[in-house]
Amino acid sequence: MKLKPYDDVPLFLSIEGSNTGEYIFAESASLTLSQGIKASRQLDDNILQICAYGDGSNMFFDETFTFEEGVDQLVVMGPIGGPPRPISSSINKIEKDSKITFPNGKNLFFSEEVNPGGHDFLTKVYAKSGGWSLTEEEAQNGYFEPSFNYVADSPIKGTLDVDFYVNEGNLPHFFSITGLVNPTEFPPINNDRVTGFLGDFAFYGAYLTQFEFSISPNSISQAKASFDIYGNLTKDESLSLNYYSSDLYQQQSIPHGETSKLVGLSSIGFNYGLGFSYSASISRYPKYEVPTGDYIPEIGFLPTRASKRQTNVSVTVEGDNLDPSVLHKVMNQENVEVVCELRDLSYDNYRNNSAGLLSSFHCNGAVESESLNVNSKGYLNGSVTISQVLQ
Amino acid sequence: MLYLRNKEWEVAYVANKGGILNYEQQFYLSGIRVSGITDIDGGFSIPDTPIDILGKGYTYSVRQGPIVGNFNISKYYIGEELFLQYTGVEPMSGSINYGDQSFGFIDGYLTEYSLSAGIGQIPQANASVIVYGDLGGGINVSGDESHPPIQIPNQGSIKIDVDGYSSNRISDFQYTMRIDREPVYAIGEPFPIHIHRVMPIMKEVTFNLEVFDYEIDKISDFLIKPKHQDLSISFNNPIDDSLIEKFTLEDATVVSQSIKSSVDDVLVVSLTYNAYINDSSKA
Repeated sequence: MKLKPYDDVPLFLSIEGSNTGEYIFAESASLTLSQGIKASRQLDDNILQICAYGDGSNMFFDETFTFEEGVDQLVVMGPIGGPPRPISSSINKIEKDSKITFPNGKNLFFSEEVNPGGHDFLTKVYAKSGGWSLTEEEAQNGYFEPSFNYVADSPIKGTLDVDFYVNEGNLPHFFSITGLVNPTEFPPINNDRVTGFLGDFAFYGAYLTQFEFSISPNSISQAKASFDIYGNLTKDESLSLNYYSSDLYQQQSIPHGETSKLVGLSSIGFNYGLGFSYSASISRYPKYEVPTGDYIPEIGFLPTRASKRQTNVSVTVEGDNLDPSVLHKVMNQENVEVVCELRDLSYDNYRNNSAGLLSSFHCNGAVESESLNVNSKGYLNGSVTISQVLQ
Repeated sequence: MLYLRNKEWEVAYVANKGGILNYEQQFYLSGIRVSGITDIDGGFSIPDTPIDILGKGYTYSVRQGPIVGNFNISKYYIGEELFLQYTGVEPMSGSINYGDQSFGFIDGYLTEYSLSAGIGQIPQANASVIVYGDLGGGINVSGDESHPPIQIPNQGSIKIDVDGYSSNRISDFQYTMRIDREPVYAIGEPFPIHIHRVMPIMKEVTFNLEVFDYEIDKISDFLIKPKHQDLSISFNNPIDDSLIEKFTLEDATVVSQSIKSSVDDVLVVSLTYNAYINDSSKA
C-alpha cells in the first residue's frame, strides 16, 4: 500500500447540479463519518440461570448433581420452577469457552459458541474440575461476559473541515452562508448543496455549517469552514489519478493583515484594530422520511432535505481603546457595523498577491460584550464582540 | 564615458571602482555627525513563508510578519554618549553616508548599550538599535547639529565606587544596559503604531578583580544574605577632572561570581551585578 502525500490529495468542491467547480486552495482538510451507537442491553441479560439439568424432560433441579471434569453437560436455562428462558437476543454471541462465574468460586464454561435466537432454552456447559455441585441459589446467579449487539441511535453524518485561504473566487461559491459577501444577490442566504472529493473519496450532500477566520497585524490570514455531509461517500481511484494540470490552481492571492482594512472601528470606540475574528455559523435540520413500500437502502438513511435554521454572525475586534457607552447602544436600539476588507499584499510588480481587495465581510448588529485586558509587560487593550442574527 | 589613455588613468579608474574607504564614510545620528565610530553593521531580513496546499504542494511564498531591521554601532567612548539620549521612548534615526549616497534608518530604538574599559585602553562602547521604521539606501539623516565636546577618559580618570573591594585592584569592567522594546502593530498598518518600552530596564556590571585579600562568598551565604549594594562608575575628563558621565546601579544584586587562576597571570575574580530600574516617572 502506498500512502498518498498531501500534494496528491486535492480538495474539489462544486455546487450540486452545476457543471463547474474549483480546486480549493487549502492547507488541510479532514473528512469524518460518525453515527451515534449504543449497546442493545437489557437488565440481567448477562446472568445465566440454570433451572434443570438435561434436555428439559425433567424440570426438577437436582442439587446433588455432580459435575465431572471436561464433560459437556446440557442445562435448561431459566428460573427454578420455570418457565425456561432463552438467552436474551440483545446478545450478539457468546464465545466458546466463555467463563460463567457462580457464587462461592464455582465456574462453568460454555462448550460451544452460542448465537441467541430467542428460542433455544438449552445450552452445553462443562467444568474444568470435577466433584462439585451447585445449590439452587448458586445456579440462579451465573455471570458471563457476552458480545452485545449494537444499534444506531442517530443517522450517519459526515463532517468536512477545511483550512483554506480566502480569495476573490472561492468564497461566493462554496463558503458563503451569510450571503453578505454580495448583499445584492437574491436570495440573501446561500442554501446550496455542495459536492466534491477529497483525494479519491467523493461526497455528496454537503451543507456549510461554519465559516470563520481571524486576522492579525502583519500576518497571513487563513479561514476555516465546516460542512455537514448527509449524502453518500464513495471511493473512486480515478478521481485523483489524472486531476493535475498546470493551470489547476488559479488562486494567486492570500489575505494579509498588513494591507487588510477594518472599517467602522470608530463606532465601537477604537482608533486601531489590533485583532479581528469573524465567525458565521448556521444550524441545519436534516429531515428524514420513514420508508414505505419496498425496501430501498437510501430511504431512511439519507435525509430528504437539510433545511437551514438560524444563522449567527459574530465578530470580535481587539483595539487600542474601549468606549464604555457602546453597550448602551443596545438599549437605544442602535446597531453598529464593522466591515473587514480582506486584501492581499497588493504588490505592484509581482503576479502573485497583486489583486488588492479579495472579499469584504460585514457585521451589522448589536454589541454583545466588551472587555479590557492587560498583563505585565503588555499594554491595555479593549475587545468588543458584535452579534448579528440572520434569517 | 571614461576613456583609458595610459596606465596611470587605468590604475585610478580601478581604484575608484574598488570600494569606499573608511575615511570616505560618515555616520550621522539624528543630524549629528558622530565621532569615534569603529564599526557599523546594519540590515534587515524578510520573514518569508512558503505556502503549501493540498493537491499541489508548494505554490509561492508570502511574507509572514513585519520587516524589522537592526543596526550595531561600535565606537570609542570619547565624551558624553549620544546614544544614551535614546534610552526613552523617543526614536532615533541614523545613516552611513558615502559620496552622495547613504544607507540609513528611521524610527530606530536603542535596545542595548554597553561600555567596556581596561587598563591602558580607550573605553569602548557598543550600541544596538532595532529599527521598526524604514531602513535602506537613500535614507540620509545628515545634519549640522553640534557634537558634544570630545573628552577621552583614561584609566586614571575612571572611578568605580563600590564598597568591599578597596584593597583589590579592578583591572577591567563592562557596563551594559538592556531595554526591551515591544512593537504594537495594527491591522492595515505596515509599521508599528506604538513602540512599548518594556520595564524594567536592566543594568549589568561585570568587573574583574586582581585578588589581594578578597574571598568569594559561599552559595549558602546568598541563601540568607543576598548581596545588595549601590555601584557607580564615573568617567572624568583627564585634564581637569570634570565629570563627563556617571553610570549608577542602585540596589544592585550580585548574580554571579567566578575565579580564574592561570600560570601566566595573577588570580582574578569576576563579579557580576544586576540592577533594574523602572520608568523614571514611577521611580
